[in-house]
Amino acid sequence: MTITDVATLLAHAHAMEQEAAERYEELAAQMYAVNNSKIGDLFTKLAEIEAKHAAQLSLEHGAANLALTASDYKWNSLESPEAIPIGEMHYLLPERRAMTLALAAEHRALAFYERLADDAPNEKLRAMAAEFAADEATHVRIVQAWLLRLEADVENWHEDMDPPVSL
Amino acid sequence: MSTETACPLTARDYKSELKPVWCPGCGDFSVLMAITKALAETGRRPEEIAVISGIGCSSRLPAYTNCYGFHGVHGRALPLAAGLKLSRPDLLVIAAGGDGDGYSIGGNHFLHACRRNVDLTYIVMDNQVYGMTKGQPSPTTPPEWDSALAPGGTGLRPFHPLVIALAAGANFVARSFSGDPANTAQLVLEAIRHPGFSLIEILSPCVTFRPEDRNWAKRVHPAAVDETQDRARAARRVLTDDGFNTGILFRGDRPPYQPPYNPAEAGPVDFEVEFRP
Repeated sequence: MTITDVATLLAHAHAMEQEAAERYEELAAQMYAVNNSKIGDLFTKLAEIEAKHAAQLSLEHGAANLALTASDYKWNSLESPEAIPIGEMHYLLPERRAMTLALAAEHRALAFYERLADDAPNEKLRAMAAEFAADEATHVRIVQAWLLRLEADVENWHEDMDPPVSL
Repeated sequence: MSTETACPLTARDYKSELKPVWCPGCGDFSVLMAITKALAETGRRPEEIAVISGIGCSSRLPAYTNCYGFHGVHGRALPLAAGLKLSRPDLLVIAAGGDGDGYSIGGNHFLHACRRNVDLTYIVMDNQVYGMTKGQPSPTTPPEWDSALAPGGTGLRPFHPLVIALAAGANFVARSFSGDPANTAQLVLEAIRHPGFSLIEILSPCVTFRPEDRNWAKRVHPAAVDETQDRARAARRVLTDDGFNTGILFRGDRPPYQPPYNPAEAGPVDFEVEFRP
């Protein structure tokens, strides 16, 4: 982890929320393209929530003005932590599985800030990382509660009775 | 000559309004994202860039950018891209496509594009299968891959594009993985900035016809050695690696092929004269 000042942390925080929002938008488009509108709507809703988080960071900290070049972001992962990997998508993706992916994304964001708080070289950075970690912990609890309200997905949800020809 | 931009461009500025129709989970989504991020970092405006392709799932890519684009004939992305670059050297030219389009139908063009070393970037989204036509084995498919269209596997040795590119004269060779869009964007940017013919092989899983390749995320790893300018050393490394090491594998210093060109001396009108009876 090489984030050592508050401005860089804010740039990362804003980029994380922004990229999560854009990813959810993109995943929603993927789902609409295969007529999985239920999950498309779910991802659209999650995109709106993440966009609100990004806007809030901008409002409170002016974080949108602190964008770095792509190579300057230090995520310690292949992508920004809160973005669901595109490879996790499936055209038959059911609701509970989708929310489980969203929960994993919130957990990755929480772990990112917790680690940053632990490694922070100064108190100001530590305090801000801890504050963001607390926000992410709240998001984790919200998504967990959301998951509890969902019915289990059907077993073997990914099996298609009319599969592509060579499978 | 690049145009100055009033404010920094973002990846979004290079995406078109069309939504991709690739299968959910396809690696090509991430490649598109990486390309648009890299283009934003070049500072070149969309109208200064041309994306050229042949046929196949990944060859749909030009439609999803708002740069100039040409969705050409199967396997012919490279001659189109080279011709465009030679006649409009001011444009940033990218050719994109898949392993079937580039290494089978377009195999001969691939060899000579490497040899000619025109200043363009060729991005191959290698999923080791013909996805658009329902899953036939491609030149890079493993010999033992068993499928309904190739029962028991083809038993054929796969094509080794990076070694062939090195032997034929490509000036920049890199490998990346679609699931690592940040590093892929960086490699695309490096390839664009490097003069001459640059090849980037991006391992981009086809989740529909080769769902087992979702596990590539666990197999890819950064190349254990630094990039080299020694073509023979690069070829030896690529021949003996596991096919999953990523990064810049070769950076050469051949001067690009770019004959003198004066737009005032040759234009569409001259060609028109040639075709008059």
